[in-house]
Amino acid sequence: MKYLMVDYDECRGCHSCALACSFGKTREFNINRSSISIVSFPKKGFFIPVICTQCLKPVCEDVCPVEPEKAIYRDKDTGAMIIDEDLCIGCKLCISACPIGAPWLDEENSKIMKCDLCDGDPRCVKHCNYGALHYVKADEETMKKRREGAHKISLVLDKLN
Amino acid sequence: MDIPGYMGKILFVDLGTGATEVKPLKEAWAKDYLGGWGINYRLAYDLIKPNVDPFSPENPIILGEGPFVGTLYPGASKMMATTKMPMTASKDGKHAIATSTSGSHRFTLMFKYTGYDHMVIQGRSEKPVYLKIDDDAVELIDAGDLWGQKDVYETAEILLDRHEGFGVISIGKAGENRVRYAMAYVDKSWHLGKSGFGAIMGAKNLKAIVVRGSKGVKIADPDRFMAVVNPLLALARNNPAAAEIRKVGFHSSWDLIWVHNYYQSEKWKKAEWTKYYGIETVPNVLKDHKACCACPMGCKTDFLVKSGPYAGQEASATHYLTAAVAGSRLEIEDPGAAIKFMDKTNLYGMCAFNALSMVDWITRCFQDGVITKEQTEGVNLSRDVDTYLLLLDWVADRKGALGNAMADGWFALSEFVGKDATKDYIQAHAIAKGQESIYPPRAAKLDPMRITMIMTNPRGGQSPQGHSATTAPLRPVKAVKRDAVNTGMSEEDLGKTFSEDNFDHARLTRHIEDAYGVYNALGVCSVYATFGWTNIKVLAEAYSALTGIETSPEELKKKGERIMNLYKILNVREGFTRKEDSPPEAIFTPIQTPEGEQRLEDYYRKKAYTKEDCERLLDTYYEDRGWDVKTGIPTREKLKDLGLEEFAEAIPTEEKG
Repeated sequence: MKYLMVDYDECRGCHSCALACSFGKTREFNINRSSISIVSFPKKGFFIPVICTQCLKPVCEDVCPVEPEKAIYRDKDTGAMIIDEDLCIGCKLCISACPIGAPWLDEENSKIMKCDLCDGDPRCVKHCNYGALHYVKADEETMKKRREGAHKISLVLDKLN
Repeated sequence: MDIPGYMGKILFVDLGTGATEVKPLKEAWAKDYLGGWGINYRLAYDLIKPNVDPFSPENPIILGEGPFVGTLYPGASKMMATTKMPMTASKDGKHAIATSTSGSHRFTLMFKYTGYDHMVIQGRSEKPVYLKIDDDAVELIDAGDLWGQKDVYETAEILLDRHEGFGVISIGKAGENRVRYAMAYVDKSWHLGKSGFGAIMGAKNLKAIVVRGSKGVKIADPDRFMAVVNPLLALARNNPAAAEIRKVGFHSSWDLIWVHNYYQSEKWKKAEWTKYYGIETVPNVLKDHKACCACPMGCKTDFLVKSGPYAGQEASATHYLTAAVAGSRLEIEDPGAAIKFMDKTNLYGMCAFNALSMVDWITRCFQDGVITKEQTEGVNLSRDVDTYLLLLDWVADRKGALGNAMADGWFALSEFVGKDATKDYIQAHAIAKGQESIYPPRAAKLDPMRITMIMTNPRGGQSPQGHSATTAPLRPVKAVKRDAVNTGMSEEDLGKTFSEDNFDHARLTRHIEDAYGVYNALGVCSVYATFGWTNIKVLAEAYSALTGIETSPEELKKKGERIMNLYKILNVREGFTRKEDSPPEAIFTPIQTPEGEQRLEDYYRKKAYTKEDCERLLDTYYEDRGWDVKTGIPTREKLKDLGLEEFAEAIPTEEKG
């Protein structure tokens, strides 16, 4: 399964991800109507992209009061948590519950929105100019990290031998 | 007004009374002047009374953003700040109406999303305030805790903490004390600079502006718009030169471009300068880069000195070239020290270029015995870093006669020294209309952009205004012509301008300027024009898709010409004529370097230029523009041709020679 991986060191704060996201979903350019936001820390000089992590135990689903079927479900192909527009009653409990602010209220369309991974081809990743956003397989990413870790250890061993 | 791309409203704020007013943006203005600085100049014509002092409450600040801003169009991040500038001036005290431009990471977007295309800030607040604009809510907030106490960065940080998610413009001590080249800093790292915009904010008791908006930009034909944007983005992302810029900023072209365009050192060979400041040294000082909104180049550089006596020193700048130029002109071998110098100018909020140049001249004058200890508070002005830093303090504090003279610009400093900087300070890049150009024309050679910088632009010597293929040295005629075609030049103009092996520098200047007029009106960074990606053809297609107003490249370029003529007319009304366009004497004295003589030459470095040659360039330029050659003033016929006849009243009836 792929997931949206953020390389925080690389973000330069250009907002292209949020511009592309808003355009894809609303047909206007507006970083306020986007499922991804760049939060800047001017004192430290860095930028943090914030986007839904598609939790394995999603609190947004837990708190959804719609019955018998919840208004939010997991897409089998992408693993994204998707809001069912027809079922959603707009109670905003998911907004309250999510620890990173992934779901949001689109006042213009009176809808709760969140990242749906653009059906497996996320626009924010396509429009990231600096390699901060990646759509990668979790197991491959893990192995990549382990190889990098192993490489570092091998350098130490090299020195010792 | 309801044209996609435009927000349709103009905000007026009076700092004296606190009153605000919202007016609709006139549809005719959008069509005639596009937006950004085009509409800023149209507003300026009505709002800036002739001969008003820059520091008067009657001199308004006009901020504007073009229709492309807020979208994904690459480089659509530019905000335009128009006012009567305190630094740009004639010797007899006239001041030019001009525009500082800045990109930014957030402010630009938030401004546009408030729903205002333009904001006009008038009057003067009795007490220090900052202006908060949160969509429709406009508020003046007491800045007593910031004024006189917090520098540019601290002010930005405090206000962004206080107003989360906003963009910020802040000034420092230099702005508060009306140093004539005080800058205003946008989101900490970007600048409305050089001509003294920060001092105008200071004169208004306006310490900062914070802004946030929630409204989006609509597109007439989204698919057609993205059909232009996506290939441009692909070019910018995949181009190897752009990849280098992302890595090391504009220093990436040090060997190819910059060492040639900036070299006029009297002591160092190019190799020596490269040893201190060349591309190999970048890792020793680079911390990170920031990007303007919607830009894949990400060229704003944050520094962190890694070793040496200045280890740990940080600074932010457009690029490392500023440090390299400071280093070469002030003979600072340690880049760390040059970065310290830049940081100090940032914290005070003043233009590093003007500052380093004045510091250079005044220390030279002291060394040569032109000024003495009696004039310098008893301090020995040696050519060392400590003295340079001390002089920056004096400027920001306006300490003593020297501090005040340096704060008041080149004319005041010339008077203090008893020499004319425009004639006698031969190491200056080119002090034109009271301010120095970023490029040294003897090293960089004259091309359209440098002609603009040192002669024709009403703003005077300034940052590059009008990038094109010739930003890089010695590009073949074919490449320059290809670029010129993309500016929307007609066959006839191309025929007049290009020969087999050269081009008419003066004639091409008009077209580069008019194209630049379009960039600034739409809100797109002109650096892209250096590569040729974003050109008038591409912009015309994107503009049509964005606004739904079908516009050909020729029509778009004509609008650029209209804007440049209005910009000129505004300054004709202030009394500027051909006299002020004449280049400064100093640049005709060659500079002796260890690599031989640097003299003023044409772009291909084949022909030396004398003062008379430059005057001939001006003749051709005016003639080509359809302006009066004797006075450099647009003719009534030209204004009529451009649909600007209502401004003919600004042409003096008795035309001065």
